[in-house]
Amino acid sequence: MLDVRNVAVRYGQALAVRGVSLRAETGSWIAIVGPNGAGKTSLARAICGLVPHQGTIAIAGEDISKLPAWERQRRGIGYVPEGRQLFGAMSVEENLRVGAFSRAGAEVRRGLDEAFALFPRLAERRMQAAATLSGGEQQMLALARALMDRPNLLLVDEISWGLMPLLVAQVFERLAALNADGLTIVQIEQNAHEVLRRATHAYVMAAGVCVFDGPAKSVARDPRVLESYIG
Amino acid sequence: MTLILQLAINGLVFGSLLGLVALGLALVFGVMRLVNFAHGEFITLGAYATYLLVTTTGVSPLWGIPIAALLGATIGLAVQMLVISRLAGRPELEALMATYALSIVGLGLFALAFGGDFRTYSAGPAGNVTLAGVVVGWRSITVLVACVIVGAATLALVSRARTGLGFRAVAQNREAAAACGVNVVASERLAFSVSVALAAICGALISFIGTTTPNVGHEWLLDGFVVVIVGGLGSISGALVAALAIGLLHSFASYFLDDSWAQIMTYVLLYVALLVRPHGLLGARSAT
Ligand SMILES: Nc1ncnc2c1ncn2[C@@H]1O[C@H](COP(=O)(O)OP(=O)(O)OP(=O)(O)O)[C@@H](O)[C@H]1O
Ligand SMILES: [Mg+2]
Repeated sequence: MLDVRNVAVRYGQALAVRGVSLRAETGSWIAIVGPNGAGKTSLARAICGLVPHQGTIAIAGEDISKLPAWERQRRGIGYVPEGRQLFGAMSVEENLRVGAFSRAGAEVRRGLDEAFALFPRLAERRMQAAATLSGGEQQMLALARALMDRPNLLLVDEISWGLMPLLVAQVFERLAALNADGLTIVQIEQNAHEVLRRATHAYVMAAGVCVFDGPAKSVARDPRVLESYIG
Repeated sequence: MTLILQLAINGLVFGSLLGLVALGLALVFGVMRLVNFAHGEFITLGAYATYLLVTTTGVSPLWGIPIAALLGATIGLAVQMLVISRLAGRPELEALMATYALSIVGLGLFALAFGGDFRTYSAGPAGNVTLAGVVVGWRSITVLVACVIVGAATLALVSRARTGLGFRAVAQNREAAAACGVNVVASERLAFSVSVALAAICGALISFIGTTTPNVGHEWLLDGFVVVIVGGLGSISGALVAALAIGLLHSFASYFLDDSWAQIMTYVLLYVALLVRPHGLLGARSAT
């Protein structure tokens, strides 16, 4: 599904990602964990085409490394960015419509119906400006927006940030249901224990490199990894 | 009373033209974060195009509106692709200097081609109507109606159409828009092209009720910027309210005081608006 080889991201002189390789099979749930500043978000942005990068990125066998972000999205990448990145002055519904930007009218309407069925809280706030939603509602909207175009791969960055534990549990349930339906998930997460319990495979990043990878369960049990990189 | 009405109508005509100028500026500022100093020269382009069309073919100046729009859209697209797009990612000041340079080049070209003469034509709707004692020129009415139609069409494009949804997404969060599948490069191209088409339409209308000179557009540009700032940068509805307010202010001030006072009061209004409502008349919400 997703094949990342030797990706490097540089901001000016600083190397934020120094040659990371990563694979996600169709239907898998990949966790990326690691301390602050490890380069996780930079890697996600590279995969989406939002920062210049070296190395190759392929999706469903097609090399997308040279494509601009919007064309990569159309190859089936749904992105829930760190910090939500909603269109603040737009309504909930308009945010969702942008999520399905390349779709025709009837499909957009079907997508909206599905999104509002999945997230009833958003349905109640359909016309409200995104910036005025609560943090939890904004996070739901960011997820719903990424799902509007029926992605094959969902790239999720710190979705549980700032949510109360009950909501975190709900979000993970949502992701689990989507994954059970066949959606491939690559999830960057501070809440390592929860994501390692759910994911199939995990990568541990530190200082721009991947320091460890293996089945999520084994990462969760490895005392060295837990102690040095996750805590 | 009739005097007041008369001045109000003059103010509306001036304000609605100003609104179209501001609409184009706000569109490009919103979508591209670009302050386009060359906007005035695109107004002048539309004015001369209409002048030439009318004086060489003898058709009604109303034909100047679609012709100027097409010409503006095409030239706007070319300028965006050849000049503006190359500045992507550069500091805002550099892009601003580039459009300033473009403006100077435009001014020079118009002066070379047409000299400094005041150009007018007499074709097209003429005469006056008297409504409740108020004398209104058919030309003014034509301009007012055209502004309302063009303005409403632009607003519909921005607020209802999918293209406009893309414009607003890019304006509010360029990266998130790209990650949602919006072709941000195409959106910027199109926004610039629409903006220049709007400027050229303004020029066509201005040539109709005023005189065309190489710097006719330039004279509208500063007032256009004032409107955009008073309305709230990038806020289109705020800009339209501000345009009508400044149009009326200008009309009354230039009658009861004089033209210079009208100018001074416009800039005092700008200053007061910046102090009291730094985010514009309607207080544009900031994006998250
Ligand atoms: N736009 C930028 N310009 C310059 N440096 C950047 C930029 N974005 C990130 N960095 C730097 O790159 C490094 C990696 O940042 P990144 O956001 O990818 O880390 P992260 O693993 O997502 O951290 P966190 O867990 O805190 O979100 C950091 O040192 C950061 O300061
Ligand atoms: Mg991060």
